[in-house]
Amino acid sequence: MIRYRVTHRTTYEYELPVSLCHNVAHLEPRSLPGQVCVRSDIEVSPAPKVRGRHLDPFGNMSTYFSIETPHRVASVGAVSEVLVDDDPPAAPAGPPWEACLAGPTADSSAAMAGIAPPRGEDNAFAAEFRLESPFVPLSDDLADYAWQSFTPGRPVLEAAADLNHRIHEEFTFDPDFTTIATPVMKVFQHKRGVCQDFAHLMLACLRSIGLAARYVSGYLETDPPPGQPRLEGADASHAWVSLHVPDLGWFDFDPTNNCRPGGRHIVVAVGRDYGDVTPLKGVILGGGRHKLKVTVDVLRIADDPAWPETAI
Amino acid sequence: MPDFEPPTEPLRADLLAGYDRRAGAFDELFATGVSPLPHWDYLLRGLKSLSRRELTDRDRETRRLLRENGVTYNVRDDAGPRERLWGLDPVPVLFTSAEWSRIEAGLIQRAELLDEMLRDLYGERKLLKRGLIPAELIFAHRGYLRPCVQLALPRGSHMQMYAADLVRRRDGAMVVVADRTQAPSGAGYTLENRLIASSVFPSLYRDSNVHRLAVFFRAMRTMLQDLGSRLDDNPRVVVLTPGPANETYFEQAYLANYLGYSLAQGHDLTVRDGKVWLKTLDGLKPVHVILRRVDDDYCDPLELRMDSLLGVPGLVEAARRGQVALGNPLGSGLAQNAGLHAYLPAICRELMGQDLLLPSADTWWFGDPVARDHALRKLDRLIVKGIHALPGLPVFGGDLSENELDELRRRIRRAPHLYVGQDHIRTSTVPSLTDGALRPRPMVLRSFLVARGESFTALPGGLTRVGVSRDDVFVSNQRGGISKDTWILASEREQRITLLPPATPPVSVALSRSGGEVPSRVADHLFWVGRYAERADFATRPLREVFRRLSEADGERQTHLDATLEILTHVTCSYPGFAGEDRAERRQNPDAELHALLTDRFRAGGLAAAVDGLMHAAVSVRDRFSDDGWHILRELSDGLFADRSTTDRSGDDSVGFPPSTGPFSIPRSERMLEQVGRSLAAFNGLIAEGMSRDQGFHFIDVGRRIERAVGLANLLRAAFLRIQPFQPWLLEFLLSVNDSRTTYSRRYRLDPQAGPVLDLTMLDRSHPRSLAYQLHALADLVAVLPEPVGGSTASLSDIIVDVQSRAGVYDSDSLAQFATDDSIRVFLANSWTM
Repeated sequence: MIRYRVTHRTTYEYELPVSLCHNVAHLEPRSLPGQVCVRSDIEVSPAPKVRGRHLDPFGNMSTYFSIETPHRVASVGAVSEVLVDDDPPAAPAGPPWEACLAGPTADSSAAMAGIAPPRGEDNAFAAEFRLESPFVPLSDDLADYAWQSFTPGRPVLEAAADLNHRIHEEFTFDPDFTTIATPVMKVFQHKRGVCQDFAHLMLACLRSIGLAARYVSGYLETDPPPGQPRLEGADASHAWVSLHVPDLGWFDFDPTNNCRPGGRHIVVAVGRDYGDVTPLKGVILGGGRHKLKVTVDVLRIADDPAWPETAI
Repeated sequence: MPDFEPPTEPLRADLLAGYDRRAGAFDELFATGVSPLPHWDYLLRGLKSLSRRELTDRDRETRRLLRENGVTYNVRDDAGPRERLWGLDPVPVLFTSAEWSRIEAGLIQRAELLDEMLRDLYGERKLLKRGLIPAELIFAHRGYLRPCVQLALPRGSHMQMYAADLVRRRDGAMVVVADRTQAPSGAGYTLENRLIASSVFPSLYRDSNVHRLAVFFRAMRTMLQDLGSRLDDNPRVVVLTPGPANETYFEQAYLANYLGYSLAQGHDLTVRDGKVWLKTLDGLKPVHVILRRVDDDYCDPLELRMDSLLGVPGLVEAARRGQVALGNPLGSGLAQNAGLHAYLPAICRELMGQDLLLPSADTWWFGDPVARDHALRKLDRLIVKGIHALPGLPVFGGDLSENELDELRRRIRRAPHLYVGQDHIRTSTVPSLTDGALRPRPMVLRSFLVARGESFTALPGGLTRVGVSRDDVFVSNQRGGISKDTWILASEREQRITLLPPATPPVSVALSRSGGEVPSRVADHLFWVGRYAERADFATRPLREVFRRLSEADGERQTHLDATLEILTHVTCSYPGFAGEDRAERRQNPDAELHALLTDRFRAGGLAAAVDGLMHAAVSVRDRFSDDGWHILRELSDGLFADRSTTDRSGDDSVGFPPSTGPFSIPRSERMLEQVGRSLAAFNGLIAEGMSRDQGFHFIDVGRRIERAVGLANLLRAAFLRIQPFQPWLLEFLLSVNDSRTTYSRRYRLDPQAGPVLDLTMLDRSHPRSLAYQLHALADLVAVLPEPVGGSTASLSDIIVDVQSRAGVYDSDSLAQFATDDSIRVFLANSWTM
């Protein structure tokens, strides 16, 4: 296991005073197979009047807070300590991808041929990630693009790795080209974007051919261990995808870095797309224009570290 | 007068002569037989005793009542949102109480079932785990609100209000074609229908022993109180409305008024300290219960639709913390999912261990491959709907061409899980009053239920809507359908038991002397109600003076007319008008300009614009006015914009303001002005005598005083321009326009003199039309206005005192001198800004 400390700071500076703001944060890393969140603190300044935490329907920790005193600067600092398995289990190649097209919506020969698996509980809930979602449209063009990797009978994880590789090869990482509002189809046409865009694109490809896949919001190790390359997206929140294989579970792919996450990726939250797991969003009263500053630090630390005094 | 007498002449045989039933269809009056069902006997005899003419009169009377009560709904079409008069056929639909009991039992079971189903879908989800509902059907539905999953609700109740649209099949069975679980509308219209139908046919209603509606609305109030009882002994309930542009805004305001709750829009509420508050003039007041008429996904831009301007940021969290209860709760719209009809029988057996009593119309969800194959083959016999609202749907396959059907099949195949096909049911027909006779029209009954304890109670009857023509497939207001009252006829046994008014024990109520809180937005609208009402009033009188002179203008009087016209322009600030560069030409031919001031609501400063502004301000605070107040306002706009109250315009029931077309004539204009003047006086009188002196009243009054002071200042400035050389008629005019003639002649008993006239107009604090009176009243009003948070009203007082002291340096003689000083006239003429 590797122990990481993640520090994620967000600062808003407003032109005019803000008298009231309501916020929802997805900043607390999850515990799931291969990862344990040992501790997580979220500090807010000015001090919030109300705080609340609850698990959302995807099992992520969602934090609500409101600041009800007038302010021109608001900052949110999340410090978390996470143990990550540095030796991810060897991935199988999986069944032929057509066997994963479960569910009555899958208009497939697989279902007709009777090779679709029975609809178990897990599969029923995976259905949510097979559908269109606000940031992930379905399209014939994207299906065509995906089918170049998903050739008939090919093992599903092998095909997914191939798609992951193609997106990495054919698309250019370009932080200036897109915003979070840029539609996937525009990313597809111009072949440029950042990690969120590539994750949404890959999700759209997988869902367009009938597979269930979800969005993963998380972090990457900032400073690589000696001899290893520094990965794209390391100084900010990162995003990748997870593909569902019936009976086997979820398998992650990072199209931005053409890799299978493991050891250096830390999962914060999963959802249908960015909209379900936005790290920090809010509605403010007042404020005028604002400046936003986000920094992320992911450090390997000793096994029994001192906890920092303050996160902000 | 009884609505029908025992017939002295033979009953009308032709009432049903042209009743051309659809072959093989079920008819409410005849069922499938040839003679009317017995429970219609009494009604039929009554109707047959009326002549064709009398029946038509009842119809006209119905429309008059609807118009007077301002019963409207908003339609949207290519021309944008418009207000239309609610349509009601006063002849009711009748059900025996035996049949209604069966329907009611089915409705109650269905309501309990949907409540239970929602609890499972937002909680344990065993229906999905066991495959009783396909997961896609839930996950793809827009009404599935993820932030509401696992959200604990008061008493675990996921739905307190439910409505079902019912139709009768050919075999006589009632089936549900749509469930309404989001924010069911129509109960208020049902109540209004009852009030009107029972007053159009009073003795028919009285003697028919109809189950009363009041019990339902009492249950609704009890339910809302119960929802908040955990939070407060006397919980504050508000009705959350999307605002005046919403289709059923009338009903929302009507219900708020009827139930006695504040009508609030999203921005009237705020979430602080994890709780919901109403922004009022007296500060924030806690809100414990929200009767929700805003669709749930629009209720919170923080956690639900980010683009919503109708919601309250933080509302979901407040609900999650148990600090506010919503009826219906957020997320309840999921049960409206049209695909669920296909699975309800199985869900009912699973959750309730019972068979579904009241079935849905046969439904196929296209997401299921087997159902899809079946339904695609018979698409031309199905009504195709989205699982939630989708553009261009619902549509009846039988209305489509082959090409259109192919296009629809392609559309379905692209995303089959979003569509359902529902059996097209040739719904039963019902006798509908058309041109003084009865004709069969297809009907849909919307029934309403409200939670009571662990179960539900149904409104006896409901809102019946009928199609425009016999073979209509769809029946809805948006498609021009009209409504009927629905009477459940008590059996004789029930009459003895249930129709006695229940003995109500006296309820201990905390006395309240304030008129309830006034939301800040409401205060703003009330202020403008006051200003526009006064502005309309101030425009009416100079217009009347002008018209009086128009009919008698010659020689010397032509100069008077010219002066009057010019002053009219100044008083109404409707420049350039009769004061601009081409004034000579306009004064010669004043018709077009006068017509515009009278009827063109886009003509700034005109009477029509002021009345239009008044109506807009008033409709936004509709729940603040009594039925009488609303009636008067309606009369006011009717009187101005068309002669609706006297002629029957059955072809066009638009209530909005038509463009100013139509013939212009002096007598007609004078009549209009007279009526407008009377309506305004009635409205003002009703406010003065009918509204309690709360902050709402104060804001109307502030608006009125400010507007009147401004109007007076404009009038005096305009008159000063003309007062030299001394012109007695001008002083008369001044008195008339300011409605002070009577006061003047009682006090002075002589022809108007400049000094006394100016004294009365400016300085006399005892005269409610003087400038001094307005200032004095404003000073009193400012003293009782609430202090703004962290501020004060002192600066307002300072301004008033300053103006008062400036006016106070004059006495009437110096005023007269001042007014007749030619240098003043020259100064005013030169400094007049246009």
